[in-house]
Amino acid sequence: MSDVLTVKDLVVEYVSEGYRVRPLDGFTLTAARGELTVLLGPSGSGKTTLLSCLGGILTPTAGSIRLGETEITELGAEALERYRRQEVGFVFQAFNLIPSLTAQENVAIPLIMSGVSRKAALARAADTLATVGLADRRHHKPRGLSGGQQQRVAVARGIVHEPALLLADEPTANLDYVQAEAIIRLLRDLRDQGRIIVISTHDARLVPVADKTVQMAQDVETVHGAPQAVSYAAGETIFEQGDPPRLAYVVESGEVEVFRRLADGGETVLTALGPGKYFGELGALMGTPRAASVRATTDCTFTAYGPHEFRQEVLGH
Amino acid sequence: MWLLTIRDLTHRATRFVVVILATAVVFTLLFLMTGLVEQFNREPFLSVAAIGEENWVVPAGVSGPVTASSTLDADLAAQLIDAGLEPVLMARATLTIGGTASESVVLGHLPGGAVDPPLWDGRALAGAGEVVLDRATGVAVGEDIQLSGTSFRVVGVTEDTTLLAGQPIVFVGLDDVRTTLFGGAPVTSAVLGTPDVLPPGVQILTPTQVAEDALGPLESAVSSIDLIRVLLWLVAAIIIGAVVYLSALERSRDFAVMRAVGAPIRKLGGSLAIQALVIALVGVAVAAVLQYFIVPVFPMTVRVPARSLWQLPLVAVLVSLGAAAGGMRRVRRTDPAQAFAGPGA
Repeated sequence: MSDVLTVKDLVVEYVSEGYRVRPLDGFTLTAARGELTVLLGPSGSGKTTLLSCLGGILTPTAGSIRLGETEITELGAEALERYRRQEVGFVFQAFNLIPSLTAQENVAIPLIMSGVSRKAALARAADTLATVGLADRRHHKPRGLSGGQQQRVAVARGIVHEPALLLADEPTANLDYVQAEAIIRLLRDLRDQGRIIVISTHDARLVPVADKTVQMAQDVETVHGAPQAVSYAAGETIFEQGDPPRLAYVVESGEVEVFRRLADGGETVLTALGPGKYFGELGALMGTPRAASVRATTDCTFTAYGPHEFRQEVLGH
Repeated sequence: MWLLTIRDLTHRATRFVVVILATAVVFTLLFLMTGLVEQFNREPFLSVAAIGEENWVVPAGVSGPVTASSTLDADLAAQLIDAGLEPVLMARATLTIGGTASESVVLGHLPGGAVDPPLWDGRALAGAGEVVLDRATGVAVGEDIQLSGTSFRVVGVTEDTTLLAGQPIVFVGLDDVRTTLFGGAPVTSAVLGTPDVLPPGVQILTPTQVAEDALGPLESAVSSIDLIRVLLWLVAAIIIGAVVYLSALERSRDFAVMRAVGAPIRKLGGSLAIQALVIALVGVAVAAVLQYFIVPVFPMTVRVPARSLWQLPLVAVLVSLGAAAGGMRRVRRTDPAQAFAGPGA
């Protein structure tokens, strides 16, 4: 079984609706056997993208993913399929059990795909279901199982072939607290058995059991203090698309244009703003990267606010 | 992959049963159309063979005794008859059985002569006022029928003696035909046999040529049925292709999960292909049973050839695999990352 998962300078970039989007930009992570790593962050912060890369489903734009001695980013299509069959287990947010199969058959699928005989696969699936406490539910189809039971079947499917790496995407997202606790306990036990477990989640309940927590959202410097007057000359860029958000701006004089950079290198202007208008407030309030760039088209002066002050003084609440 | 395939078939059993029944109806029609074409193609050859193995001497320039209403010159006919050939007279007449009139092909010949069709029941013609005719008419030995208003007694029943898509051949004494249909005129449409010297003004047609000529009027019907057969294959392909593609669409999340856990595309595509094959082959099997019950009550003689029982499944396999290609392409394009999508995505 591989000992260490090493992710280095990982970049994923794709074009969406003509715009270049970079959910992962220089991401680095190391996780060892027996370590449970939690990726914490809001939607769109790149958690699932990272899991896809780790699982050999998505090829990153740049960077390295190494599981033991294997460089995943250099594997061809067939080798990636083999990697997924042998080295990786998946637990999906929506359980994603095959509705026509029983719990036991669902768990057996990764083994059958690996060429294990049906009889042997079903036998091992039964054993694995017993380890997640579902021995008596193995002949039930997914619709006959509760959400928690379905997720435990999904976990069993993820570990039945004894992978080195278990990837779980929001494993507690659709569960009540009783079921979520059972899943968290199960993941902790699997970690103790010596697997590398990487979990993406919004669920802070997972943080205490994590050996490592990775904040996927960009660190946002919280700005406090009195609003400041700032000025830009015509042609200067106030901020770029993808930049971390800090301030919101109210135009005092001059004019700016809000634009997006296109994947083909061009630009598209979204709007022009003059005195009395403001921009950059949503990113600053939500802590998400800038969704567009802003450039001064004339010499401009602005009042720059931290998010808290902007809400109080400009929005009035 | 059998596990996945069979489980999915049972999971969506109602839909697959409906689709199998729909394809079975299409395949039944294909069996019937194939049987009709087979009957059309074989009918004249069987009938002409039943009349006899002699060549037919007919007027020169005539396409054949079945399709052309022509008679031999009386002197020429007499010359050929004197040479030992046997006169026959072929004509179309209204056959009335139990008050129901229909078209028939009348063959006048000399009782006890060269024309001696195999009998299914009864005996051969022995004298005037007697007929032998095909069992497709539904008559029995001893019944009376009418030919263009004149009554005759059925003394024998033949089998596979029809022409022109099911018109029965009525074997009648030559003199009776001349009296009934030609006012007693000593007309002869052909003589059977091969003269030592072929006199001018006549030509010899082999039984095969006579049968091919009799097939001529049905060529457009056969072509039309062939076209319908092609369309029926298309319908079958569309039904199978649509349900397999729909299955691939509905199972795209399942396929994404399978691909995420490393299932080779060929196995997933193979699962769909097997479904298409199961639909096609079960459909053919059901159709084979259906046609067995429908053929006897079909208004026309349908001769489903034994070879169609393996040809049709074979073509069905090819058609179903072709039809499943859309679904398999869908599987190939399934992004395993879809497995990460949240509920309802």
